[in-house]
Amino acid sequence: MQILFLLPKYKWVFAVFLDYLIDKIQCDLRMGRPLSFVLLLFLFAHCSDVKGIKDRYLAERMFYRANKLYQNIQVNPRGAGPSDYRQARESFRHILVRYPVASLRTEGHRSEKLRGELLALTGTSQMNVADLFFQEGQFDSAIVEYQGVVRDYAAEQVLSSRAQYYIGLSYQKIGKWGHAVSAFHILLHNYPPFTGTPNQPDVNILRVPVYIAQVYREQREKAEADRHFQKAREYLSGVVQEWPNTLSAQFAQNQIVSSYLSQEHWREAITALAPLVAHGDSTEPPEASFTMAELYQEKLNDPAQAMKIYTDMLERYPDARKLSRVHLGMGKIHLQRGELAMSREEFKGVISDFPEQAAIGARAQYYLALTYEVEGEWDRALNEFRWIMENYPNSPEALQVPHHILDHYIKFSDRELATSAYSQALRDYDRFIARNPDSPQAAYGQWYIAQCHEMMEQWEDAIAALEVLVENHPLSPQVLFSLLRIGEMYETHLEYPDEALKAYRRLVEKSPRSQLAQIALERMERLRQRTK
Amino acid sequence: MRVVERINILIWTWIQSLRSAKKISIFLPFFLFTLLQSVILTALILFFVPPFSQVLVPLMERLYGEPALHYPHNFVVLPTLFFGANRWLSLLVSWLVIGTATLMFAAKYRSETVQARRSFYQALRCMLPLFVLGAVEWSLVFLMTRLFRFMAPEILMWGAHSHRLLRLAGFLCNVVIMTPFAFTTPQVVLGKRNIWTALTGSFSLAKSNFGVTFLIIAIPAFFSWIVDVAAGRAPLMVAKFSPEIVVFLLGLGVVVTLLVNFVIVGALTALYLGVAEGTP
Repeated sequence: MQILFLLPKYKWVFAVFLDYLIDKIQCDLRMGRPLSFVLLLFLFAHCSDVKGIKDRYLAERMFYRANKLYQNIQVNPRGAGPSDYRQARESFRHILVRYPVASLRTEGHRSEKLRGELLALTGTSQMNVADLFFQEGQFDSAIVEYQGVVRDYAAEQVLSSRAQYYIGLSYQKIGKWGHAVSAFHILLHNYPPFTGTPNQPDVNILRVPVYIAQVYREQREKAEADRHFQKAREYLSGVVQEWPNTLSAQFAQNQIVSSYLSQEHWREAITALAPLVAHGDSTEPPEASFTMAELYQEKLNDPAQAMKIYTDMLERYPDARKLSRVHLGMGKIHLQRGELAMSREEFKGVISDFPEQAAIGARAQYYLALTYEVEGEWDRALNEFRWIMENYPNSPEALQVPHHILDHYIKFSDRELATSAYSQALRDYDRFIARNPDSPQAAYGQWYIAQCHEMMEQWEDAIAALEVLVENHPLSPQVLFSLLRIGEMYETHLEYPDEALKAYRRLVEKSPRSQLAQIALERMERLRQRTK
Repeated sequence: MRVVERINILIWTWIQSLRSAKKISIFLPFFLFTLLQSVILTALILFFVPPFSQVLVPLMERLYGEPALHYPHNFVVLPTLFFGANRWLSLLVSWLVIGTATLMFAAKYRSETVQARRSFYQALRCMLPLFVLGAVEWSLVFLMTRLFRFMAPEILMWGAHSHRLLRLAGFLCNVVIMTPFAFTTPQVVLGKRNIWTALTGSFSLAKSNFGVTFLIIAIPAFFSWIVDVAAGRAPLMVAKFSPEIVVFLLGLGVVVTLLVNFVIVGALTALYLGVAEGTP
């Protein structure tokens, strides 16, 4: 049996043999050998779909092979090189060359169903070619391909609307924000906000209006941002009114909330949340209720109103899974009010009653430790913090703990314990990163290492740690913050203005239109004036 | 007969059979069967290409639904289709293949001239008894397969390895059914018996040499069975490796079947001649 496991090595031999057989038969038919021709005429005088089935099958086979290459890249994008991207693209292109869209649309000898299936295959192939360019960072080429999809597959709404969305994103990536906004507006005007029925929302389309406004806000163009937030709400309200009581309307309403949250208009956000609160199913409270309670508690400083919402949820959904979050929220309100015993009761309840919900459990455990810290029982708090690292080692809270402990000792000016906690924190973070090297959490671990160095005023070590983050986790959202922080440390603590300028320049090159890039540009200007 | 003697006879029959492999012409009837199997396999692989598509597209769609016509799902159903077609092929053709081969083996063992064409016509003349006896055996094996399929849901509840045990038990039961029929073809083509006497003669020979006859069939057939089982796990193969690997395994099965049939028919003919006629 062992030999059977060696077979995949030689599978190409059989694939090639099959190709040969198929091509041989096709070649014979093409050359019109008299016997084959007569035989075929005799046998298939009334066979209309045979060619269609053969074409579809061959196209599916080509697509399957190309898609394998595509999937390999998706599974491990960091391990994929330019040749992998090129090979995958070429495989998809073979399909497009063999089955040109123009001939698929005009040829009448295939049934409508077969033509539709072939068009779906070629459309997805062209989309994948474009996606591969996009993923590889070749945005100009991606735009050309996406435009091809929009042009050739206008009737296939899901495909063409997605291509139009990515045209906008590609323009944004190459810094042509004006073109991007135009592309997004075409998307909003030419396509309905759902795919098929109003209960299948097209999330890309429904997100775009608020997204445009958020980008303006990031670029510190407040007036333009406010104008676009207003426009977004008008569009989204139109969706809610035109298709009421559908999932599209619900998603649009969520986006209206999101627009108010982005503008920090908390009261308006709560008003917009009201219709969503009514949309919960019979067993689980809606997400909107939690958002509303958190807004009251954290932004409007109205814990009484937040507590009322939580109590209401307890009454309406006594058996819900999400009750853990309700108790967690109530515990946080008690903690905020200084009702430590009551808050502990809530947090302990979450940990013991919902053991399967590790993420919520880790959060509750963190707040439980905080209650002891607030009370001044540091030893007990330390014990509870360490328990998080034992019981929830891969949670975000476990990442916070070493930093939090070090912070405590520094605040209380206990240099000796701080030094010990510093060494321990570095060991803990190294272990965490070694355990989860490719997870997004690893970037945060690296960020915390730099933070610990900074707290101990080890500026060069902190910079080195942040450089590791930039190098090892180029896609992490922490990269821009890291570059900004590197610049700051060079500028203010080490007084190396040239190095600071370099770091700020890297940030601007990496994301020229981000809010952080604006800050970096201002600092670069300040540094230049200072050096003059 | 003691166990050692039985083992000696078993080994001797295989040696006789393998020695005959030097005479390539004896392979001819088996090649005929392999050729037909290959045509069926090729047709099933190229079901979407004319002329096969005319018959196979509607057939596959009817049997397995629309997904069977799509790549790579067609490779998932390919082993089932091929085994099904193979079963009917063996009903229609195996009597002629085994009859011709038995005559050629006998000629070789008797140191006579091995003539493929003459053996073929001789076997063809015994068409009726060979086909009837072959059909009876085929029907019993078919019923046994059906019985196992009927019992399968209950047996599969027994435990994690029950499906493997079920397959193995099915294989052994089939061999048990084939054992009493093992000498029907030599009885007809060499002993010139009619249907009834060939059947009783075969039963009595198999009864007195049950262990040897059983092992002559079971041991070589086991290799063929392993390849078939591997090919039967098509969904796994398609998902884990490449869809085309199924074709390779089925092709390998065809080749292994050729060799296995050669060894079994040669050994049974040698045993028949040795026990019934005292030759070679």
